[in-house]
Amino acid sequence: MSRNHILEQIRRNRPQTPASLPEHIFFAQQRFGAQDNLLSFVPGLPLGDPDVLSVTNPHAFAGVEVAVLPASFGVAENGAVWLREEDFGGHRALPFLTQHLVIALKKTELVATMHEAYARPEVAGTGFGMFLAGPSKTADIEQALVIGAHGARSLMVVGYQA
Amino acid sequence: MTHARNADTFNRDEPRVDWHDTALWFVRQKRDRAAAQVPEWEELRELASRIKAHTLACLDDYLVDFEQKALANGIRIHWAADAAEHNRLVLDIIRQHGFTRVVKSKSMLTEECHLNPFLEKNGIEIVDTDLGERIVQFRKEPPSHIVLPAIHIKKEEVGDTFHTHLGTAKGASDPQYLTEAARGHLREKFLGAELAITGVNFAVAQTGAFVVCTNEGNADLGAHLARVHIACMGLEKIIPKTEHLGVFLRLLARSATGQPITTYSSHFQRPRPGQEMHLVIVDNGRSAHLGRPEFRDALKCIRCGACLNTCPVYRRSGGHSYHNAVAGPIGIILAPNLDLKKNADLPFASTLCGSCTNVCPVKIDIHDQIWRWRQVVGEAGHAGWFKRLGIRWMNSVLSHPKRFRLFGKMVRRVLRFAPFLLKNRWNPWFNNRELPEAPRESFRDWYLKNK
Repeated sequence: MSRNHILEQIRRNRPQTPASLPEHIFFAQQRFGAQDNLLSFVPGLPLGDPDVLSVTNPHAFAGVEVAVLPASFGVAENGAVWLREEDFGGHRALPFLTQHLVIALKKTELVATMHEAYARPEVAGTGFGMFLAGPSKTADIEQALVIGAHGARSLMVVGYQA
Repeated sequence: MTHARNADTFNRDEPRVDWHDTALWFVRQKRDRAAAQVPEWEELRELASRIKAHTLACLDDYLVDFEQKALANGIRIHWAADAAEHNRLVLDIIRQHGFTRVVKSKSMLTEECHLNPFLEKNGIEIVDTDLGERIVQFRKEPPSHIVLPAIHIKKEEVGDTFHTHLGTAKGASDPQYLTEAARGHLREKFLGAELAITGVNFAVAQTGAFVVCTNEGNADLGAHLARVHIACMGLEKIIPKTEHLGVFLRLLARSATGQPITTYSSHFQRPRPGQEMHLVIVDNGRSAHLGRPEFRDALKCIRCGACLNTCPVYRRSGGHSYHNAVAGPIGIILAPNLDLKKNADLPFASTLCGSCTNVCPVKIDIHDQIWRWRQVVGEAGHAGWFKRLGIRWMNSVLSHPKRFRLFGKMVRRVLRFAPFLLKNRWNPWFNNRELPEAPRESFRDWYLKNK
């Protein structure tokens, strides 16, 4: 009797993991604080100043704290995601200027190896695309790994159910 | 200054040599762990080797294909026969726009062409943005490793350099603190740059696109913020198809640093709207190298640095000992093609252990080529009188049995009765070596007595 009661209590009270993408993004916002300099290019989740989103001068993104970008797919062998410019407004500098990166990745869009990655249609034809495997880093100072060299200081990948 | 002389200087500080050696061997071990996690590793190496060999056999066709596709993409293509033409081309583009502020990400090719001093002489501010390269740029040194430019520098020394140039706290050596200071400083440079120069890891003939791999993101911060992007490429960086990138990107970072992939693998196919994108295809001895059947495979190199990390001579002599933009085993087999006389000492900076050949992701027969370059150096008369006379004399002793026996008897006598004649600092063989215990008789004498 007590066993079932205890388990029921636990189930009711345990922290809930976000179910939908908007809930995930909200969680990310909470984590990084201010919403003012957060930009999102995830379809269905427009966040951020629309004026900033329509600029052509890449320097405009110098003050962005958090950028939320959609990835085409992920590669299992190395933890990289493929990002192409058309999915974040063609603003190539944004993923590098932002202090923090959040990547939205559909859980079903995973390939095992780079060979499969290069066969994906999203790789061909884009003016600029990249495999992104983490936050910026360097070990140039006596081999000590430092995260957050010149690019993003952190990277969070949010896997969600479409 | 020969490699041997430079290495002597480097070896005066033995604890430092041990530190350098350990640091590089650690990187080699990371490579091993990464390779062991890919069951088809050897298959990948073989594939990469064959793709590169095929490409070299059709190099002109692929270069023309690439040029056609790249032009159609809106990328302007230039061809430079040598380092001087490359430098002039780059300067011309900068001057056309009236620019003076340039940022540059890691490119061993531009190092080979001595681009920085040329541009500086012409009034251009050129900032190397890879952290390791910025450190050596401040210190007015060349990079000592093709992937880890500052591997020879301790964090306290970086701290001193940054204190002088960036105003960081005196005596500070925490890598996190120092990197943060560099981040702020270089961010200013990225935002203020008018033109960005990058290298090229791979150029794809099928699509006219090229790939640049970094961990820091500095190549992208340069290219995506500047109005003009110049990518500089050795002509051997061409690969036929996009799908081949799968093979090379799986091998590159694992071989270089033991990572499954670099943080950023950026694929450039078209300039961004309003931007000018240029690509300079550089020869500088490569087409001549292609014409040397015994040495052309060195052009397969993808500049991963694995051979440097494993080489016992590189680890214990340091990159600056090689007086060449590219040091280590691959440097040894590339440099003599450019200038045989100046680099005649390099093929002898090796024990021929073959470790380099074992780790090369594209299966270049590095240590065999090192040995073959020695023959070329010898035949050209650049081996130095001491070596020449020594080999000639050794040849004469080894090819005459009576002389050989007499020589053996003499050495055994000297080692037993007057060892100081050989065990002294004027005998170059005795430095850093133990001479063997002299046996009482030669094997031949023993055999004749006991058969």
